[in-house]
Amino acid sequence: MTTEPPDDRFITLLLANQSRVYRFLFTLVPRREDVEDLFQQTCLTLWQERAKFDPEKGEFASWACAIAQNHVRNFRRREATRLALLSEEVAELLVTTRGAGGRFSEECHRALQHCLNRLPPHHMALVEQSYREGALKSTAAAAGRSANALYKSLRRIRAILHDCMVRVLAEGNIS
Amino acid sequence: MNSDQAARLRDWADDYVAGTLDPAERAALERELLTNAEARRFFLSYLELHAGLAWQFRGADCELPGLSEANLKTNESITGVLDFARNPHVRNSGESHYREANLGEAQPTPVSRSRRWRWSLSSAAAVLAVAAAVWLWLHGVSREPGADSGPVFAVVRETLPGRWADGREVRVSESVGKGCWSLQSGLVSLEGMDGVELLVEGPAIGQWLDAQHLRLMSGTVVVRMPKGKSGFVVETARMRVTDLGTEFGVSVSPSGDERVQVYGGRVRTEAAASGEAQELKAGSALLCSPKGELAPAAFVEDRFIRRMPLRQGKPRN
Repeated sequence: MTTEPPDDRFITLLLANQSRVYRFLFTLVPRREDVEDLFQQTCLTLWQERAKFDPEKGEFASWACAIAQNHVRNFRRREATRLALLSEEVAELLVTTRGAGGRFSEECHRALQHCLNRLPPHHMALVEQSYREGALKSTAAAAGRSANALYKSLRRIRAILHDCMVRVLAEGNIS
Repeated sequence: MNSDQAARLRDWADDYVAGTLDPAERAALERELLTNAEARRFFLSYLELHAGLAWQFRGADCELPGLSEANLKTNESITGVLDFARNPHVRNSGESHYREANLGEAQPTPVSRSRRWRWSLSSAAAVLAVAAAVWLWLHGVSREPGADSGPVFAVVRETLPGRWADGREVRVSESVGKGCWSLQSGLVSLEGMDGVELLVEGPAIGQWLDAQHLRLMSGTVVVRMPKGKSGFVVETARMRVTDLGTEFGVSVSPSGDERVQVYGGRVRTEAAASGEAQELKAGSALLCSPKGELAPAAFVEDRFIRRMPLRQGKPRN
């Protein structure tokens, strides 16, 4: 059995929770580039502030998401004129609906994995290329299709995945 | 919410993610989200979908800009790495690992802003990366499972669609040797020595200590021993689970809860803090709190994924 020094424990928690923080940021900021920036700022703050984390006072994910939310607030102030973000009131409501413990998010995550496993291979390949390559134009060029046509396909596949997720969540048998 | 409302909401969600939602639509969306709890959950589930895909395919998150495996090999370098982790501005770490993701027709990011962040964020990424790398190195990491020339402890039998934390796809027949591994996503079936089968559900972090001994830092694994075999150990931070000829699942949640659930045969559990040992039989479960306290837990049949799901109408396992 392991007896971990504090930093080891902290990094274990950080690694285990980083996808939660990343996904939480998407609740508040839609653009992936912005999420990536905010994710990295959050990681840095978490590392710098690690001594302040007290497991007795709450879950690591809640603490990390609170720090991420602070970064988003600063981001909103800086970028308010440039970005078409949802109002702060709506953003706060979404965070509340999502739940401090992130249970809803975890259920969605598991539902998504379930649905991805059922996606036909050619749909899976398109989703993977689009998200991995990032730029839709280059993915479209590689596939010999227009960016617009590829985007429509991607949108349709996301709708299929979302229908599946909603159905799985409604069935409520994701443990 | 009827199907028309759901379709409209999803269109708005998609436009919001793509950055193409016009002000009138945004106002309508906000009204809907403020007044309708069902719409909020629906909208959130769409954001979770987008976020989940972005995370799943984003590739490595523990890159080491300017830091090769070689300079992690000596204590001298480790000292330097730790110094760098404490003070990221001592030297610059190179480019940020974020990737452009122009899904849809998002508005372009002003170059000056992007560049302004690029320098500081590359340091931020490096701090986390370095910290993680040092930690993994100190725990005997092999950054690419099976990449070293040491003994092979398991072989990937199936993957659906598994991805290691360094961004590589998990490949069938890939060997996994001594050291740490981090499965970012997917479901991976491993076959170990003596025919032990392990089903690992990502995200998960583990470490092979020897052919019969796995340390699980986070995530979920189901172990199935072949008939007549026993002795496989799954160790967590607060618990040691030894199989006595059985099938069982072990999970370590992000909050630190550790759980064992027995599907067949028996296992022996031992708490790290108290040394308290218990034998669990099929149909029972045990929860170990972050404080190391063991307590009986409800047995929930489908808490763990025990088989590869069906795909394309063919059984996977």
